[in-house]
Amino acid sequence: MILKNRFVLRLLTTASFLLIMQLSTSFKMGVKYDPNIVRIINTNYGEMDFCTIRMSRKDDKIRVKYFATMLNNQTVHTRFQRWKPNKNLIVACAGTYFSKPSEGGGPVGLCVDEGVVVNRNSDLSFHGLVVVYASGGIQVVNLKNSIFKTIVNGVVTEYDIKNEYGKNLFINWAKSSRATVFQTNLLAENNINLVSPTAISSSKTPLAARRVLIVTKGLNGVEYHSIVYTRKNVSLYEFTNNLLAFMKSSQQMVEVKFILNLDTGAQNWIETYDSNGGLIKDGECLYSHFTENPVNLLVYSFEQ
Amino acid sequence: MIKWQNSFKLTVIGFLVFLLGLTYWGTYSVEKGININFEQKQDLKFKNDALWFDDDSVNTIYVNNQIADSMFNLSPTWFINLLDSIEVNKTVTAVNEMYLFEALSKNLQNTKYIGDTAASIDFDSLKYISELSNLFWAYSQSESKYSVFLSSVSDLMTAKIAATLEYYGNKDFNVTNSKKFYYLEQYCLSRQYIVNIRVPKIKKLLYHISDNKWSHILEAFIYQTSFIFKFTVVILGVLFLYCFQFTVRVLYSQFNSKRNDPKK
Repeated sequence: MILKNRFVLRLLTTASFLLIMQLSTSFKMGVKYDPNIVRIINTNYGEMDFCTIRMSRKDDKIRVKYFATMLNNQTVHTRFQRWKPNKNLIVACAGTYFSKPSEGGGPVGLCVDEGVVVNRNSDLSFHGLVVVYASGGIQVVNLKNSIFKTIVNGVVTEYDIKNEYGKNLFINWAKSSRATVFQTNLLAENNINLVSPTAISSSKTPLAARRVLIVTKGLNGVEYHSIVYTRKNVSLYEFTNNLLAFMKSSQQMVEVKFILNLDTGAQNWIETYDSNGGLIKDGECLYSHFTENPVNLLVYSFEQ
Repeated sequence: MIKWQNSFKLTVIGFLVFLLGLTYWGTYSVEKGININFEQKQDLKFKNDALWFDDDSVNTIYVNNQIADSMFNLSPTWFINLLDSIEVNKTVTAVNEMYLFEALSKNLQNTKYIGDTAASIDFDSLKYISELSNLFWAYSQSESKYSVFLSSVSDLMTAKIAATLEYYGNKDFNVTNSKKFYYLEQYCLSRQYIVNIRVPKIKKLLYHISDNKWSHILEAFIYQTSFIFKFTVVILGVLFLYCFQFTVRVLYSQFNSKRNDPKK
């Protein structure tokens, strides 16, 4: 009888141990991204609320994907839904501007979606040219005064996109390397606000909620990408100024390399995921679906 | 005191004016008819006397007035022959192509129709440029040797068509209703050039209404309109609602009085 009880006790102990092991493994498996690399910060700074999803590029764990337009009769949202299984998503939000959304227009400015040319019509009033590599890396160029440089077959190659000849060479490169390219407003570069102060009262920059992509360099020399959103209706100039101060003092960034404007108008769409892969639904700054079909999407994911 | 008959009339008239306004501003009325009749244009001339470029690395190449005159038709074969003749004497083709392209683009900027911002849009000349652009594009697809050069010339022309359409379309949205405009816009699209024309606010409003983006409409009304606009809309809204409720109340009381009529 005693022997039988001991056997049952041992069996129960072993089972409990295995259960605890299984639970801990499941929890570890449930973690989709490292919270030390990706941080979600909600704070107020200078009478403005900032929702920040800050991603460290250290160890090259962060991947970028951009869905520029509808392809093969699939909407951007459908393409995103089909792509996202087995991905460790961090954030997905609307990207650049769109022309004539009611009549099936397309993205404004030069646009290539994974090597497929969508729009060759470069808009030189949008100074931010964003190049997303097939590997998930990202590069930003100020079209006003710089040229795009990349390495082709081990050789540094330059493309002057302002010139049609250079643009053709660049498009050929983007096609062959399956790169994604889009244009948007460049609000700041190298710690300098590029938005005109006279635009404060101009109807061209009305008061609105703002969302941007920021590329910064921290004290440790690591590059960070952040999606920052404010619900307060502000002008672009005021927002950029406050954001530069916020990044430098509150976030302790040495350098704000670029601030790129993202669309919050008619396609105010964002989804943010917690470190366990769950969709965060509380708070409009981390989750908002203004429309069922965003016309383009910028997506950040984590590679284990 | 407003009589109920007047308030009823005001309500109906206000509602009709609102509907008519939406119909007038919101309708995309493309010209009627099937055929698009473009005039034949072949007078695309360089304003500059000559196409020239000068650089030590490729020696001095000068294309004189006579040659420039022969370029009225801007033929791809002419450029291919020129590039071939340059290549015989020089070594680096890409450099030659680039210089020739720069010289050409400078000249094209100065040509009639392409560089000018005329008072009104010249669809027929744009159609001619689109034909030239198409020709260069076709050659770029078959001529692998100078493919980048030829497609760049084609792009230069298409970009000009797109820019002209954008300029006039943004100046006056009604221009976009023209069939010729539509044809040229479709040509640009076929060459993967999306013509970016700002949609008038009333059309945007209709689009947002159809997409049920009410919170965006409210936000835009609060933050993106002037005080006078807000004031006018609020006054008109209040007046409309007043007349509407007044009409409903009078109709209701009349209905009740008829129902309670002892003669009945």
